[in-house]
Amino acid sequence: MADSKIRNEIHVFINGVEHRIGGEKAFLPLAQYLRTHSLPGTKVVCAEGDCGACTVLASKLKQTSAAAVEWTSFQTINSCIAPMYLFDMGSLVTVEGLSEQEELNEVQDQMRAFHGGQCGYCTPGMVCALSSLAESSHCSGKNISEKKARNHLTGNLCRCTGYEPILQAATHLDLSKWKPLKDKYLTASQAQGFAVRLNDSLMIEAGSRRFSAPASFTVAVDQKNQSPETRLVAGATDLGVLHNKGKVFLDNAMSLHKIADTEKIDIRADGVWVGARVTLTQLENFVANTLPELSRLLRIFASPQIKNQGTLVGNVMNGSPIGDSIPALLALEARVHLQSVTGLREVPLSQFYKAYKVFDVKPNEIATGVLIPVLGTEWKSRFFKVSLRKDLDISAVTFAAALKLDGTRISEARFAMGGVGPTVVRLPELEKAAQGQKFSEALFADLGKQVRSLIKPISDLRASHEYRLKVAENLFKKCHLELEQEIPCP
Amino acid sequence: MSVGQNIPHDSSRGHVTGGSVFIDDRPLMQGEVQVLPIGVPAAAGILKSIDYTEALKAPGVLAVFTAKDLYHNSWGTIVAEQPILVADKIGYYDEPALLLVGTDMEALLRAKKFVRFEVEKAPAIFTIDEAIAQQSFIYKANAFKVGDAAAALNKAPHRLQGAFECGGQEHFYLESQACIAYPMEDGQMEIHASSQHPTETQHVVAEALGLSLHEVVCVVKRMGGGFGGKESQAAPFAAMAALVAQKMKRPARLCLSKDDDMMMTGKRHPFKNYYEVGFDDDGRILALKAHLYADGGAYADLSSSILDRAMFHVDGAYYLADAFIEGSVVRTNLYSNTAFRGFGGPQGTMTIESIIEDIALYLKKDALEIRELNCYQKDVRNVTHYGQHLGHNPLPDLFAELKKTSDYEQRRREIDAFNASSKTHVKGLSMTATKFGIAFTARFLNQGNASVNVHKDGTVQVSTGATEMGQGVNTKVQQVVAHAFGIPATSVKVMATSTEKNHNTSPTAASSGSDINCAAALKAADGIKKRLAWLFQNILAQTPMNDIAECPPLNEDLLHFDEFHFEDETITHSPSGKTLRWAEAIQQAYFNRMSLGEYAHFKTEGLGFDKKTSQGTPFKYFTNGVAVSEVQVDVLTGEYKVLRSDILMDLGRRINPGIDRGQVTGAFVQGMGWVTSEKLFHNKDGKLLSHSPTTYKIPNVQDTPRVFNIEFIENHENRENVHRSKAVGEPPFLLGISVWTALKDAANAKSKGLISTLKSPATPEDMLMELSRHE
Repeated sequence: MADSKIRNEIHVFINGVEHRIGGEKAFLPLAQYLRTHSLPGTKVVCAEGDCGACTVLASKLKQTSAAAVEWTSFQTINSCIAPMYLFDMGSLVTVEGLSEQEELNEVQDQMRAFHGGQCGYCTPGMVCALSSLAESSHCSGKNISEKKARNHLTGNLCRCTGYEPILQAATHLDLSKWKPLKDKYLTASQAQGFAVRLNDSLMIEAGSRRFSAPASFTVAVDQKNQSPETRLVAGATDLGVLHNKGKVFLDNAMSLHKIADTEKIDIRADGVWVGARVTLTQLENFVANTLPELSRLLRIFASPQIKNQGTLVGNVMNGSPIGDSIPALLALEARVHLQSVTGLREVPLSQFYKAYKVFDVKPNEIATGVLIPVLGTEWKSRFFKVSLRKDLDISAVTFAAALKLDGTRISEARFAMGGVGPTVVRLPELEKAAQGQKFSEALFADLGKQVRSLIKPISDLRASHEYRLKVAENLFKKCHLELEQEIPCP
Repeated sequence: MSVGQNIPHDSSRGHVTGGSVFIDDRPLMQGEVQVLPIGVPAAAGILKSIDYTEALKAPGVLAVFTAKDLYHNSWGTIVAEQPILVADKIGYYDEPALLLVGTDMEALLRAKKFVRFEVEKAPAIFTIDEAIAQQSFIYKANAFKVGDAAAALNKAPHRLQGAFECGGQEHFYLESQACIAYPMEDGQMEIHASSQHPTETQHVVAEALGLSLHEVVCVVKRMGGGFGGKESQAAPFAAMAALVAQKMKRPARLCLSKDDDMMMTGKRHPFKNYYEVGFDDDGRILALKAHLYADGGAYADLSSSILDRAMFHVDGAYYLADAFIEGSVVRTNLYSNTAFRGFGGPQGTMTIESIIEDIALYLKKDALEIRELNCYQKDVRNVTHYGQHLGHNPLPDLFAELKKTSDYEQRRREIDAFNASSKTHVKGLSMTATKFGIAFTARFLNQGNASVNVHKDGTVQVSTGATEMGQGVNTKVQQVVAHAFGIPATSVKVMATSTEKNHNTSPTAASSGSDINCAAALKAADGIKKRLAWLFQNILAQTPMNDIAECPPLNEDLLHFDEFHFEDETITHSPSGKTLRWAEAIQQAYFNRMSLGEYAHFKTEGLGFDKKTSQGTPFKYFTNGVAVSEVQVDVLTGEYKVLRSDILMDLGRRINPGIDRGQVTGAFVQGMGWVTSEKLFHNKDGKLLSHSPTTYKIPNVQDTPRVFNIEFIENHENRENVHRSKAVGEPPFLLGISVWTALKDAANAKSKGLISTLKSPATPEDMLMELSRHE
């Protein structure tokens, strides 16, 4: 491995061609970069990562050992909200890179045959999303099921087809005809070319804008200490939106993606450690067995594209009062790690959120990860998200319950809710009320009645005050009805 | 044999490879500028002044334009009353008032915050009831009268009265309003727009700029979705871009962001329909009295025609012997509502479908029984409340067939049992119908023209006034022309729509794009075919064709046109069996100096409606269908799933079965979005807050029916239309209503007799609140 350097441009393959991008262009959203570099197939519709028209495939080169590097497998991302500078040492494939001259790939053939595109505006994104599904499924030798196709296309809106023709195309793919994209775009020689530059750090300046990606925490906290106004960017799934809508211009940003440690997710003695750069997709897969209820919640958390880019730490540090993961993390008593030049602080999430978007974090601190304690087998949990649309929607109300049971008696209870006040809240009054009680329909009906006076939901475009109260009450009933199946009655 | 084949959409290769060019994909021209319209921050009042001095100083801003820069500042398809840019009186919140111009959109977004509006605010109207109370009307229709509704109501054994309410709907075409204006020599202007109505776009641009119509060309290659939203409302944005292009003598690109598009443009009309219905013990409707109120928003736009269509469709699929239907469009301080797939038809039909659910609950009967009892029949009870005879009426067959194939009765029993036992969920089942009248109700719009040019290699270019928005009209034109000439569809290209090739065209709307333009193209193709047949007839007759003599001009009296058949790239003379290859015929025709191009004009015959008596034949024919949907609602949260939908439609002989099927699935899901998750939310000042997909929820792939069956009946009897096909664009949209009536049926399952108050859309919140009324 060569000595790491500081580079002022990013190096990335786009459809197999290396682009070296510095200055202003490095700050463009990826979609805009593509569209102004003769690749207008990628469309921008919402510019907020909600419609998937801008879907492209992304891979990045990773250090797997001191001497070895490897491409990650292609994943879909929303290119409209992702700043170009996040893709250093990446390989991207756009709709233009999917076919060879006149020869369409299998996804494109079936989309044509089944009338999967009408107006054609969502089609490039759909074709990219389906191509990533074909890429990850072709080895299994099995056809793609309708359910799998739906799950994979959750982040791609279409207004013309009603999706049915697209699902027909997806379920009729003959995967034996699939020519893997990785054979063309993730080659060993491409990896080799990048390997020597992989651990370079980045410092790109253009006018008043600055982006840095340091290669170590030491440098990162030092930079944050010197310019506390620097915004930390992970997947940019929220900040990218704010930038596009002219609300926050990401003029001074830092990313931790060059620090290998930030990608770590593992089980430790005191729980699951989730590093700052661990995506929601990685988390969902990793905790499938250790924290199955959290994994289940993450399934409807967001679209694949958002989960492939967005991080848990990003969600925690964004700290929305309806943050979908946060009630669950509160019920699990997760802790966030904050690093600064003066050292490390560990803050329980229950004490982290002070008021609307006010957190217990100092201007010079960087969140390095979240530790999620694992519940023992005597615990039962339920995490719910209620929204206007089941998938791909921001919730009206979120709910999390974790109960420690001694037979049918509740020895400890934790309840947390989101969307019911300026921050996500724990409900200590109800926890106390439940403690020592028998798990019963009557108890949960009563907790539901009590919760109404403990929360102060607002009326907004997602739901009315009355609805949120009613749902809060009913979620206790729902929690009981669902857990009843798991808790044997004496 | 191209007609009837399931060939891919003519742009499908470009769509799947990213090669299809939309407006904003066009390469930047030298000197091209970006235009950012900025809206006023008030819903009503007077715009006193705009301070843009700071904005003009911001980096990257080149110019600013306002209303006073326009030569003419009002437009409107029916009534020219809407400003292109607000001059003084404000119509709605975020109404465009100023154009910021520069070369970089991000710079314009950064400069936007420096623009200051001085507004003298006035009280605003945001709801239909407020508008009625303040007598704020845009249009009042002549009532539709049949029989004596008042007397029949008096005599009816049972009566129900109420108000049915449905919300608006954002088009959510994926490509927002977009256009580029290119200034040409001699003051001319070329507009490339995402428009369903190039002719109106041309006209509005010309008027706004003080040009004559022959100085403006509007070109439409394709749209990334339209759904009615680009019928009238593409035009003012084109005028804005053209203004900038004219003043700066530089190409000007105006492509709205999704947020701006949603805030600035009109949507489907919300309706509030007050009614009184009388019926007998069996559920037979004896009388309907209704007043339909449409929220037109701030300006007239197409509202009067939309209200008319709602009144035409208030019968749904059901016979009304005695009816009195009134209608009004109210004026509010919201964006100007406009055409949207169905054009009032859904709001009319949904009213009666909702009433039928109420009658069923009231009489403790299955709603399908009420529908079957009231359905238009074949030989009796088959004249609409506006006096149009239904002709060949497949509705009773459609109901009967779908009831059988969807296992309706068995499932109804299972659902009743489920609802009796489940603590967590309640299910609903409902079948509804669509009987959609085909033709523009403004008769003059039912015309079109096409030109067909055969090139020397035998390939063909066709141009029509139809615009392609994904619905496949170009593919159908391609198939019809290829079929007419007996050549492969690949030998025919349908070219970009342009007002310099096809003028005085109607919008591609009212589901009529394919009916009118295929017919016009067919007529043009026939003109060429006649000359080729004449040529072949002369060859067979050994008419001399050489350096001295050439084929005489066509004499239709002497031509035996029906003896010539065009198939397999060959012209066959049936009596003799002799053939002439297509390519050879084209060569011969060229050297004999015969025209290989033809222009044809087509108009839909047989339309006539007397607005004074509200009687007549406004429609050429009807497209019919039925759908049954089953839903499951979580009684604790109100969240629901569509478990299954079955659709059965009559589309005559389909020109392209795959394209038509896609229209049905797409329209159904769009319709179901309107009645379920698509809720428009404004703040107290009238600003739209649900202005992006984060807050405005169209159906996604997880929301569509878990089981989704789409079938068609065979019908070879539609002699009214080209190749006996039927229009498909809008009719299936109305079938999405079955999801809402199924939700209503689910809530009614918990009712102890209380009549439903469910509105549309029925969000999970609305469902939970409705269910809680029955606790």
